[in-house]
Amino acid sequence: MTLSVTVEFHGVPAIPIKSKKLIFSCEQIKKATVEEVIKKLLIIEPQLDGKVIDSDKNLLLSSYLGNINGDKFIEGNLDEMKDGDSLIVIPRMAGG
Amino acid sequence: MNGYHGKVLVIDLGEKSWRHVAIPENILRSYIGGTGLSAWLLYQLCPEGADPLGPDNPLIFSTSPLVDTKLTTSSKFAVTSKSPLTGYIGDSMSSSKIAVSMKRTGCDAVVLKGQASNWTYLVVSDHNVDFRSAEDLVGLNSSDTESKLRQMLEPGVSVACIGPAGESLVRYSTISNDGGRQAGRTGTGAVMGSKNLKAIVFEGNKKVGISDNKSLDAIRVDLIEKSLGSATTKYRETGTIANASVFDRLGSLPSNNFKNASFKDLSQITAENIYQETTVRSVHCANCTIGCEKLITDPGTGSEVRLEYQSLFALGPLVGSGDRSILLESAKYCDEVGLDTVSAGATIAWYFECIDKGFLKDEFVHSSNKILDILRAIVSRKGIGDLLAEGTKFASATVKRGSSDFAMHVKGLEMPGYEPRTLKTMALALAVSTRGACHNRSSAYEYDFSSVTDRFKADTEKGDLVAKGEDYSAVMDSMIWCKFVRKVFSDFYVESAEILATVTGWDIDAEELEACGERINNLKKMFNMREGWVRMDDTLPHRVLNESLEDGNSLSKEELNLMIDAYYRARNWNKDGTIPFKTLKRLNIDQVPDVVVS
Repeated sequence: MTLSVTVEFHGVPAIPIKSKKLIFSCEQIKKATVEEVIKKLLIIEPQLDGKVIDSDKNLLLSSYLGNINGDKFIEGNLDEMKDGDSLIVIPRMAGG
Repeated sequence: MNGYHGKVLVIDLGEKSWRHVAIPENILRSYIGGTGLSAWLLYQLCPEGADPLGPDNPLIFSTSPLVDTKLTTSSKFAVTSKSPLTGYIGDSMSSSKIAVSMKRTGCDAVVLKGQASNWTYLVVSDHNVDFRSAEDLVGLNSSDTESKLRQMLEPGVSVACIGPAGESLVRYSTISNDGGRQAGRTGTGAVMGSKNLKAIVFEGNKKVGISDNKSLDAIRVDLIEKSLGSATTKYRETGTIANASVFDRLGSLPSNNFKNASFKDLSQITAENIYQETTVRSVHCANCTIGCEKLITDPGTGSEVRLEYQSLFALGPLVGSGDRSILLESAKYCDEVGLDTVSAGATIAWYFECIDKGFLKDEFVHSSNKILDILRAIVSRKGIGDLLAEGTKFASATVKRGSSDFAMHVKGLEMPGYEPRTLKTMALALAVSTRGACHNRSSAYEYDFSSVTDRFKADTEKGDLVAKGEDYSAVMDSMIWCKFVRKVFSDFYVESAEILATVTGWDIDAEELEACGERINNLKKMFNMREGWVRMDDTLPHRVLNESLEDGNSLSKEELNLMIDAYYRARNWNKDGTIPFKTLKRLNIDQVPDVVVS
């Protein structure tokens, strides 16, 4: 079983990486926590370390916020992601 | 008294007279400064039923105890008046050196009454108010007005002025300062224009005392460090234009006059694209470490354009345009002539829909290419521009034929770029705000863009969230902090009370400060009640309550009323939204004195 997940970057986090969407697969699992997705993401895009991701904690940096599929904002990294889900990474501050 | 001068400068433009009036310390402690102090002054000085564009409507500039402390982001001021758009309280804020200059003239607020017989500008110093002819300034845009006054006077003076839009009494015109910053919403520029007042120059040297300078220095250093951390990344990196692609992805970006909540032609005007394809320069307000303001070089003209999210939304997706050149040119034009971009964009979006429906003869065609021409017509009040200069509430009341169903305003103030059908906390905040469809006096979007609440659900918990958000914002806008430092505080009320105590010497604590926020919001509501507010004013545009978005998200009138009821309960108000005496008494506003400055 392969879990295919999309990570999208919008606004500020999209600027350090030129691509807006990264699609990658986690093999041999049906679902993964956000932490596992972030670990995998760091392997594929190591330049995100310190810019978008805190690699010590496997969390988004506190400047950023994650949302799954546009439906649910996550706090921490224990939320589960399923095959076909999108992790949307946006700036934490919504104002303006 | 530390932190304050304890005085208001009252200027009568009709009589060409001025005087200082003392403000009791208990009033300053109860309303702090900024929008709080100016709400109190407006309640005292604006006669019931005053014509917003008549001589009786006071125009109030107010500073705060933090102004001139050099704390980061504290160089701010508020402008308050009865709004010509809503007929209710209108306030707006702007920033930079002028706030310090204003305070150094030796007062905490400036009240402008009456109406000059000819176009006038004022030179306000710490010992005099000079009334001078502005006939040579009439017709100049805001930056030229500032430049000319600096040439005529001193290069370092601070200027607040109106552009041609304010002169034409466009109901959503702004007051400009410090090279293009705007006190943007609720039409204070039209109030200034109605007084035949083109500009005010501030130059002074009076500083206030600080209770504990040594502690304030330590706080200043700590705040600078925090303001450069993760809590302000977005504002430092791209400014607020980053919202565009975020809101679009989350189905919260209103487009095509709120018919849609995302925009298919957004690609050219996202922050990502703008940063890749143009040159962007960050600019700081005086005493600010963040530098949220982004000046974008327009590749077409080579000129720099100030752009933030609300202007991008209103002159882009809202009017159905994804053309970056048109957006930049329109935003620059609005800044120069002194037009509120949100109301201008919303009014044009309404006009385009009127053209599409055949409600108005096609003086212009519905095309992005005509946006700039329509803006020019609005400022000159030529042709259809004369109607559009009145804003969507008045214009739709004139056109009739059901055009009010898609006039996107609340109480007369046009809607900002937050889609209420997918941001339900924000929906409630927009409906109940005392100044109309306002995104700045509740910070309610914070809750929707978080795990605190379900943004798609209209439930009763939203009532408490909005009341808390409004009180918190009222304290921010009265201290005055820039909203963009709000997340640098671990405990906002505790830390802000400590800072206020350090500046003033008061033994004020978090609980007292929080009560100030509640008091200010209740007083604003009292002003509106005196001007005829009724519960049915707390609502949202017909389109929002009767049309679903393409993804099925909607908000019914019943759902909105459920949230409004919860909000009134959270506020300890009556079911009809009026304020019971016991609430006024608890907040010590049961005996608001009669007019203290006649």
